[in-house]
Amino acid sequence: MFWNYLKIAVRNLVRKKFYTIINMAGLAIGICCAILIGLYIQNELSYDKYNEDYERIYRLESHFTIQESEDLFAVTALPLAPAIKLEFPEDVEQYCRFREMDNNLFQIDGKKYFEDNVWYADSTVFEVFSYEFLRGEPSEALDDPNEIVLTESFAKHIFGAQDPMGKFLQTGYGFGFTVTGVIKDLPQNSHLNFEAIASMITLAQFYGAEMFHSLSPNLFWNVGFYSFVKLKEGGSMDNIMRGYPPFNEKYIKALGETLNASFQLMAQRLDRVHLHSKLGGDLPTGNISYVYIFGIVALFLLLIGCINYMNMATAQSSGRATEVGIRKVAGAQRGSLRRQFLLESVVISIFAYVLAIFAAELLLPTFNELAGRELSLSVSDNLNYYGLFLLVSIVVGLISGSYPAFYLSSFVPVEVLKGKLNKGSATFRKLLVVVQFSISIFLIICTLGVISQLEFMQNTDLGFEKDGLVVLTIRDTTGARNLATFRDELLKHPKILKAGTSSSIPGGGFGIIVQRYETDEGEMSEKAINFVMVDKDYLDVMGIKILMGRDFDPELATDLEEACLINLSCAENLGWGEKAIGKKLDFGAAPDGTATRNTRVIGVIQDYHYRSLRNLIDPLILILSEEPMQRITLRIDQSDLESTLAYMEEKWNEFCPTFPFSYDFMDDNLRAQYDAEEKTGRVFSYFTMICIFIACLGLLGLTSYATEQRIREISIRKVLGASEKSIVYLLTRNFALLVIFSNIIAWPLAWLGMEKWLENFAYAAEITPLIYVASGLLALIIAIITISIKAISAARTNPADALKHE
Amino acid sequence: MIKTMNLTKVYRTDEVETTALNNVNVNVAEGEFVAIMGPSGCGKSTLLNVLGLLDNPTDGEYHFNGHEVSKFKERQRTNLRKSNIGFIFQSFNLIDELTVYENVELPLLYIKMPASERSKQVNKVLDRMKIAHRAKHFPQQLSGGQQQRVAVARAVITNPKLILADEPTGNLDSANGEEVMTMLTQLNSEGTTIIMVTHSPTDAEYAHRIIQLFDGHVVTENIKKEFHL
Repeated sequence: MFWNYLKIAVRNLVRKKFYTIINMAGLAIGICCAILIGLYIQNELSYDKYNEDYERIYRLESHFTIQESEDLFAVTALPLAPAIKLEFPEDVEQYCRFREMDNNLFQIDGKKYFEDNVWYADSTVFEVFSYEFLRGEPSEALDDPNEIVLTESFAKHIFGAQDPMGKFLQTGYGFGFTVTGVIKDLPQNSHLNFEAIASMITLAQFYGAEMFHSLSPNLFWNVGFYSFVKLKEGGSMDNIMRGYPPFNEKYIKALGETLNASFQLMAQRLDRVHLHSKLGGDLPTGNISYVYIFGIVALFLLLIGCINYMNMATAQSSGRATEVGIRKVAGAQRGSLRRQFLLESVVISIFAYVLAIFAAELLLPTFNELAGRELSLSVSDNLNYYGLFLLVSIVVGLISGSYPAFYLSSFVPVEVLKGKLNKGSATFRKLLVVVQFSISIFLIICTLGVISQLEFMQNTDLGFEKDGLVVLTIRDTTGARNLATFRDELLKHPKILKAGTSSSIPGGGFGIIVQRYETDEGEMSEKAINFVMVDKDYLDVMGIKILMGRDFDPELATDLEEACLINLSCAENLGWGEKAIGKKLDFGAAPDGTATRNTRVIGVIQDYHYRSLRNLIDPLILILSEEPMQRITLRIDQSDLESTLAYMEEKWNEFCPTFPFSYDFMDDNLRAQYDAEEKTGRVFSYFTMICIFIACLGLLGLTSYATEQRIREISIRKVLGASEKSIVYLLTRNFALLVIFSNIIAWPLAWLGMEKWLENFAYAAEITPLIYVASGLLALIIAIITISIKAISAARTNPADALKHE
Repeated sequence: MIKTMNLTKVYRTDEVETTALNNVNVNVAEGEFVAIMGPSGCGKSTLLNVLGLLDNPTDGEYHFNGHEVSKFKERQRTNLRKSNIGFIFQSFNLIDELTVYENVELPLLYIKMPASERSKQVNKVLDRMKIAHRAKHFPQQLSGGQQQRVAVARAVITNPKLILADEPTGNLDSANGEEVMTMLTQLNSEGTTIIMVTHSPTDAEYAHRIIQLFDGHVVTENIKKEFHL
């Protein structure tokens, strides 16, 4: 019986090529996209799971409350992890801390190599994480100062075929590292990402050995280390959290109380860091909501493919009516007919699956580029994945076949054999079309929404003039020492108009420190507030306006010690409002009542976006500094850019010879903040197009079926004098109405979806009604064009031909 | 074998009620060959469908082989039908996607006959219907007469006790029509009961008895030939 079903299925497919192609293409495209998206999701979910004991590894995190302001950090203080191990010996097996290395220059035999991804790590790193050693001994590799372990590719990059073991790499700062091991390259799905790790104990030379090993309470308030603990078998993070209050009492609380601050320990299991962490100082992470979003898109694509099939199969049922009748007369029960039609749709979906795999292989490089991944579909690595999708395809086949099977098997033989045919629930088919177009319109709106948010972020007035700004980052110690001369030299070029230095630039981080400020009642209160160190020219270079008071004045020596600028948010947040000028602000207030500087507010600047538009503009303090700072921001005349850059390079090589010349345009840097959104927007728009394409395939099939069914009616109308236009209108109208109706479902859902997504941004574009209307119109136009393809040719048929057949 | 008592079939749509069969009482003995005649729309096909268990009557009783089946559920009717009744239609009703062999084999699949036995049976019947050389052809590749022979082969493949034929020669020329009638007579002489709906007086001549229907009533029963059990 099975073979009989299979035979008839295949023969039907071959006979009705047009419909078979539409059905199979719809399913294949849907499955192909789902395979690719699934690959991406699988990769996102696999982060850090390559570590054998990932279920026992936790990252320790910081939650500070200072006055009312709360700050969450992915980093902790230096002594936190060792103290936790000491106090919870039953639970903690080992700890390991990481800190990024400032140095990125490594030299050997006069050759220079630059690598940003180099970290310090405790020697215990190899006990906690699963890194595979190619050379050297894990237990000894990082236990002495100035030792370094390289990844295989970094070792090859520097040493080629030579043996790297025992070689000495000099940095640009007068110290170096001996290579004591080589490990395999880190897998891509690791949230920690480095090319080399140096021994953490090296830092003891800089900090002083006593302080480095100290568990003194005042060290617990200065964060900057990624700390991990590996629990013992049977150990539990809950135990540690339960035991935290006495721990807090012993190490942390007393000092905090003097600042009116408290510290709460947080922990995240290693495999959750990538998708679930959004803390200050986090390494680049994924975002679980994008996993959901893409998952939903994949389901949509499959669903639209299924709907195509349902629609076409029921629409074509007249062709199968006799067969159903005969089978019933010959003794078929409904159940066996249902099984037959289900088998048929499963056969199609399995063919579609095979096609989809080939297509996915072909599209993988493009998809990788789009998603910024290096995903692979090699059979050996993905056997389970292929199996999973075979299963998915079978389920898709069963879902697709369910309605047609139910519908076809319900034919009454007496009637169908007489040629009477219940045309199937047209309402149900209409509903299916509405679902397809609702999804399509939903996706169009979301795509346009994402695009308009991107536009908004790139075009919003940031409170400074971002165009024509070039940023140089000084790493070189000699360059930093001669910063003033370097700056003056640069300004000699006629196209370099202004120059200012600062500790950081918009989008590039900022400091946060406890301030003591004068309240309206004249008392002093404390608060942690963001700050940036700048020179006297910074505001001018950036084009940031002063709303009240004045800028730093180079002529006034006191400005260096006693002045600060605040932004408008700060004035409002501290309750000063219009009366901010002259208020006292102790910058960097220490618990003993002293401060780094005792300043007064000399000016209030307009709020500018020093962080991405995801964040509100928080209070900010600008402090004048004459110390060498990392960033020089130049305002340039962009005509003749090439020679200006050449001049910069020449001067750079003169002042900062250790490092190669590099520069950034401010607007590029700013745009890079929205990479994830841009990528999402792009991927979204592609999948939206595919969705619409599949939906249109279905519509094309359905229209050609409808025109075939109505060819006699069309012919009679033509004989009676109907114009081609009126025939096209007749055929198009009903479908077009369905598409219009789909908007009613799509709009509110899209509105909800966009609201939810825009919550990610403190500053969001307004999704105007125009976007909704435009999306609906776009879908309608595409649908009408699709329908017209068939409708016009039907309208042009010679009525005599069709009527002769009767 | 067949006995109906006041068999009534009413079709209802929203506004119209049509009585297709009105208190029909028919008896058919095993081995009989009965023709049903009457003008278009008199209820011939409806009667045939009810007798063939394709449809249930609205009222009245229907005894098939001693069972009262008028209230049978679809599943029960199907089970009774598939081993007891064969059908032949005016428009042949072969499945276009199946070959001659596969079309004939179909009823055997539904009674779950093992494959080896099936092939023996099908080949035997195809031989008998003189269509074996066309076994691998599809219906569209055959003439009307050949198609109807395939349909007859399919109807007799399960050795049914009863064959119902709905204008079996309606789409055939006279030569092919005669051939089909000869086949039916042959089957009847071997013991198969046959009930045939026809417009053709010539075909009706082959039957033992003619039942005349008019507007859902049996008007006359005309015994053409003597029939003895």
